[in-house]
Amino acid sequence: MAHAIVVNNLGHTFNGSQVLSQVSFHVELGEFFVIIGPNGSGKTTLLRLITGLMPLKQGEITIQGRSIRAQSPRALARCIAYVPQHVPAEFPFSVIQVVLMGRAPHLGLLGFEGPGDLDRAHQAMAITGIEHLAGRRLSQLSGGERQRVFIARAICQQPKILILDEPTAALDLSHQVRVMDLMEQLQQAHALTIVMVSHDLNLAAMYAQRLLLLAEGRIAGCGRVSEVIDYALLERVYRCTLLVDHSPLGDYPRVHLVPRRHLPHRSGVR
Amino acid sequence: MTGPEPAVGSRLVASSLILSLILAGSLYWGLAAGSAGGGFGAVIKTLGSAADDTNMLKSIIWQIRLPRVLLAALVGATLSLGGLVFQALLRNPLAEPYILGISGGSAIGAIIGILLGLARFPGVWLTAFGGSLATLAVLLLMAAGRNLLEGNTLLLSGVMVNAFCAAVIMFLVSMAQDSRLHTIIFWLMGDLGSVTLRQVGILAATLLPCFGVIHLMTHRMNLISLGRDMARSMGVNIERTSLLLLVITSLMVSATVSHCGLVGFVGLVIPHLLRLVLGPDHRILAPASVLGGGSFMVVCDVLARTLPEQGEIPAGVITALIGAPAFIYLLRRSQR
Repeated sequence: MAHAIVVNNLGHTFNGSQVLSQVSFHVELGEFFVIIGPNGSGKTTLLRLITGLMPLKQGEITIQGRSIRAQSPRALARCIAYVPQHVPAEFPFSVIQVVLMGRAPHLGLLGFEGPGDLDRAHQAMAITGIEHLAGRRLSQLSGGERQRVFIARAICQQPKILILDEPTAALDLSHQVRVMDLMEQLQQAHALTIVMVSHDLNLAAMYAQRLLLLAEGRIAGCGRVSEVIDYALLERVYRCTLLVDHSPLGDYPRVHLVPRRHLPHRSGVR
Repeated sequence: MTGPEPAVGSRLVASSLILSLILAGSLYWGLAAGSAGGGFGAVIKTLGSAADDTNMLKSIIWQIRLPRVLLAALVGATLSLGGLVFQALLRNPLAEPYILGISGGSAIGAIIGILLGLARFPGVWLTAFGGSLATLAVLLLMAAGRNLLEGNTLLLSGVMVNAFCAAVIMFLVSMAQDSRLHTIIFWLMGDLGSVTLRQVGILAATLLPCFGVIHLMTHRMNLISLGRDMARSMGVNIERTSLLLLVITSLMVSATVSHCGLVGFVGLVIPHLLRLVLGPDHRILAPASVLGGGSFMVVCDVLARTLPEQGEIPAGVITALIGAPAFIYLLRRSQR
């Protein structure tokens, strides 16, 4: 079976500078894959190229065995669903209307939904726990609730791959865990491949099966969590002192920031 | 609101039915009202009477008022639908069909036509339409190379074009002589004027296919409302869709404006008001804008013809007098 995503020698130039170069990796089917790295390392650019939001000019991206260049936006939309960090909300759509829009790649010319589409929308809202919000407007919801609406919309697309851009960035602690648990549930119970950009190393360590560490547009590390969450590697990439130990919750590494007053007493734990 | 809303199909049928009745009522009133008299039952009576050429009221109703009323409906429908499309394209519920400056180009063309002494139709119409095409070309050139919907590129280009056209218009007006000045001012204020059934027919033949194409794209307009990224990730070919919508809407607004000048506020107030009442789903709003905008314009035209004791005031004055306070109300309501 083909890999979910194969990226080969990917590059991207923006305003004359090379934002990404020689990026090659793959994401396996049904994997929970997290992309980490400092600001400006090219994480968002990489995500936007994989999702087809930006045109591919250097390198090759293959989604489920087919090149991204060979697929129409509609065909791609049936395979990949994207959950952005922020969504503009100038128009007063209700939750159910937004979730139903996820059916777009499966609808006919006029875009009218049938009873089957409504069922899927309700299923998606049940999975994300927002059924009670169906008639409410987006603007009336909290950040965490709005996030779940867009995840429900993505589920409605019936994708094989779910791609999220920093989903926990603006969320309360409880919503952060809730979203990550939801992703795990989607991966395990619904066989989705999850690809996520995250700035939270510890969350990434607890949920991801494999990590991709980007630095200045190049791959600094790719592999199992234990291989990538290595204090020497991270200190080099993030350019600050870090302490890496073991989480009491299980076999996960845990990354600590180190305030300056602790520096003379630092003991690196490998 | 608790619980899911009723299906789109039934809401579409219900709103279209109600607005069709309103439109029919407005058209009837448009035929019945006027300075030559009439009254409520007059229209029906003329249908029943013999085909008698000496019956002045009958010929006034069917040969003068009918084309005028139909023109008003077409103008209102086009401007409202155009406003709706621009609001979706620019993701701004307060956008309107003149925001991109194409109407400015049309005005310059019209003024030049009037100054040259051309007849209203086809002369001035042609120069006006030519002006708007030129402006559309300039707009596309300015926004080309960058993504059409990226940031505020399109909007800013439109503002610049509008400002430039306004300056040229003022210059041309300052050069105009007395008699033509009056014609120019009336055109600028939006004036339906006198029109034959044949001219209305030609206009309808160009506008109705545009309505059709736009209605086929209403679901995509919903998706675009969520943003460029979201729309593309759900399978919309953003570049093609927005270019097609922009060109078709600009052409249909230009064709209308070239006929009767800059009728203001219809394209802003009607779609916005309908959105407040019917919700943001463009599959329902598009036909509603056509029917509602048509009704509104017919009513404004009736008022323009019947309110003054002698002659008539430009229809654009009525739409502004009703539209401006309505717009302020909508603006304050949206800020709550």
